[in-house]
Amino acid sequence: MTPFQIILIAFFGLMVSGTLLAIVRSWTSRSTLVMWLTVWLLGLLAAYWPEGTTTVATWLGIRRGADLLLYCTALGSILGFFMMYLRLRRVRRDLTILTRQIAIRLADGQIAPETNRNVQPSASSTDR
Amino acid sequence: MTHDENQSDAVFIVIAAYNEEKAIVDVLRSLAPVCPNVVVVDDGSKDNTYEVCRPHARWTLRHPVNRGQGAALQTGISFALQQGADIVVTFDADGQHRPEDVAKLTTALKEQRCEIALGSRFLGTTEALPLSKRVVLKAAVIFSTLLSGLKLTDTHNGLRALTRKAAEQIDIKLDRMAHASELLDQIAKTKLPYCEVPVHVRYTEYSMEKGQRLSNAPSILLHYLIGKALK
Repeated sequence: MTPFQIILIAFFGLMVSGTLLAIVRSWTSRSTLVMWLTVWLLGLLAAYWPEGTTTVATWLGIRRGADLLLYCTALGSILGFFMMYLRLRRVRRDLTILTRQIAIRLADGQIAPETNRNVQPSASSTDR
Repeated sequence: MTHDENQSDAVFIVIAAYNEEKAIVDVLRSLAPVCPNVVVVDDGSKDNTYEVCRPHARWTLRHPVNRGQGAALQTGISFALQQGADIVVTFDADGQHRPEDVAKLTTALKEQRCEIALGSRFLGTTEALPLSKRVVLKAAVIFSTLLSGLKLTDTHNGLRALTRKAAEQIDIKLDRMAHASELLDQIAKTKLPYCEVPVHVRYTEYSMEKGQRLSNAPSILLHYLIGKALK
């Protein structure tokens, strides 16, 4: 086992432990945590048994295990960015709703609806 | 009550403003004899837009942070509805529009029995419209027609009037400039009857400086397409 494998195994081991702790303490949704646990366990497996990635890569027609990891990382990153983008959109949307509520509640010169009735734009303005 | 049942509708003008302290007071003064119910939504301006508007607008709302023109317009529309508006008119803050066109729009709602009246500078007149901007606006018309299915001559004119019924059904979700195209999509989706009204648009050095640059068009298009895909 190479020193780099040891570092990777330690890293993934820590991540697995942290995720298990998060599941036990219900820090976030269980499905999200299970997804991360799967990612860390696959990483741990790849670090412990690198030849296995080559086996899977050959089966998929990629040949090299390193290439398989690279593709998986790239695809995972794209998916991650997309998920982050969707979340950012939701946060922006919520921010707009919150901003709107604040603006309307603090509206300057707010009066009762009845006093605004029977008001039309001046017809004379069109005659200018 | 609908707009064609009552002759004395409460008309509200909604203006979204961002860093408009130099021009908006003149706009508000010109609107004063036309309509007393003017709602300005200061969209988190960095200058004194909010302060200069307060003495001249009946209501001045302030977004604590900048959220974009679409968001500010929706805030103004929601507020106007809360205040009992029967007709909501959107009006630009940079002095491009003529106050007398407001009455043209509200009259068109009644006479043409539609729920939304859209101002069209290409049915009306323009002043000092640069050729490059004309080309982009025409391209936007073709693009919007293809995507929304609405047959229009002008798709990105900020001067429009909505009846209460229409304003309640329209919900602008695209915060920034792509809201104009989103609005057309919602008109098509809700099948609200609409009409176009000839209006005058004047381009000044100030409005050209403040308005959208042509280089922003791809970004607006991208926001619109993403918004459409992910709604």
